[in-house]
Amino acid sequence: MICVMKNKAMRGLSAAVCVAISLGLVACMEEPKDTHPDQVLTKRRALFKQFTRTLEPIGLVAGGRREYKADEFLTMAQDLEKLSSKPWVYFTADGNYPPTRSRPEVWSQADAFKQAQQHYQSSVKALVVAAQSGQLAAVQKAVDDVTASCKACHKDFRFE
Amino acid sequence: MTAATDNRRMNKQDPSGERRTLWRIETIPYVFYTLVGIAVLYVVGSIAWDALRNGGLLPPPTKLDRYECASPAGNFSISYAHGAGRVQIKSASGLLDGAVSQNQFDWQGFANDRNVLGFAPPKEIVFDDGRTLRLSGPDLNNVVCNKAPEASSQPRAIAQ
Repeated sequence: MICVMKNKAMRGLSAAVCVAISLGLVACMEEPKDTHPDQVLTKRRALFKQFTRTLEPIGLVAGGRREYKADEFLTMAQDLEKLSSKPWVYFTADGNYPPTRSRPEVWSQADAFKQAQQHYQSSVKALVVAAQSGQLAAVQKAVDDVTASCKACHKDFRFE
Repeated sequence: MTAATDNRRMNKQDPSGERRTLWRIETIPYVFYTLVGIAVLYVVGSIAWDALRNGGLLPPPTKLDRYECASPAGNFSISYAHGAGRVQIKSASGLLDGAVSQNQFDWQGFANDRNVLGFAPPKEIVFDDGRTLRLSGPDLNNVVCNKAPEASSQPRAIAQ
């Protein structure tokens, strides 16, 4: 009798332990909240996500996986140009806090970071010019340049 | 003498070791059922939450309508569909993706930000009849937006 009760208690305990571990894992997966008064990290992350969402259809067109419609493409390129100047203001002096993926070089090598931004922005401007020409080949080359600029900046200033 | 025979002999000599092994095996179904239970709760919870948010089990519309808005703060367009949950606002200066629930916008930290659009985005939809929207916010007071003749060309760009 005692043995049966002990066995039941053990089973209950093991189930409780499993639930606690699962909940603990879920809690660990949750990212820390952005407590910065201006939420600069949240803002720049939102803008970079928007970069990705805007660049994705552009990449599909350049890769030949989506039909090239000059007007539509120009609108997308112009949207990317509008976005290209926005996130940098949110890299404030006190903006390096978890869970940022920015490398400390963003702050310690501010000039190099500024150059990377300018390079990116000029590559996006060139994409808009290419889109205005309506030439798919020019557009494809410009998209490659934008992508290369993104990758170069990520390599130097972001933890992958 | 094989290793297996040795193990058997050791187990016979050590009944607590045998019990431990048995206990470990017995816990496997509990771990499994706990994980399955959590997955089921997650799925059922998500469906219930979506149903609550959308006011039913019907999926939200995916195609957004574009509304053109003129305001003293600047002209802008907003891609929105009643019940869609997603929204995009675009001004001459920039664009923002957000969410809308019960006529309240969530701009993910940009509620009072003027850097992206050039003005603070609207806080709420005051009126919506499917052809006209009236928006209000820190920089917008009952701004009227009219549905553009053609559908938005980029609802996929703001798919979350």
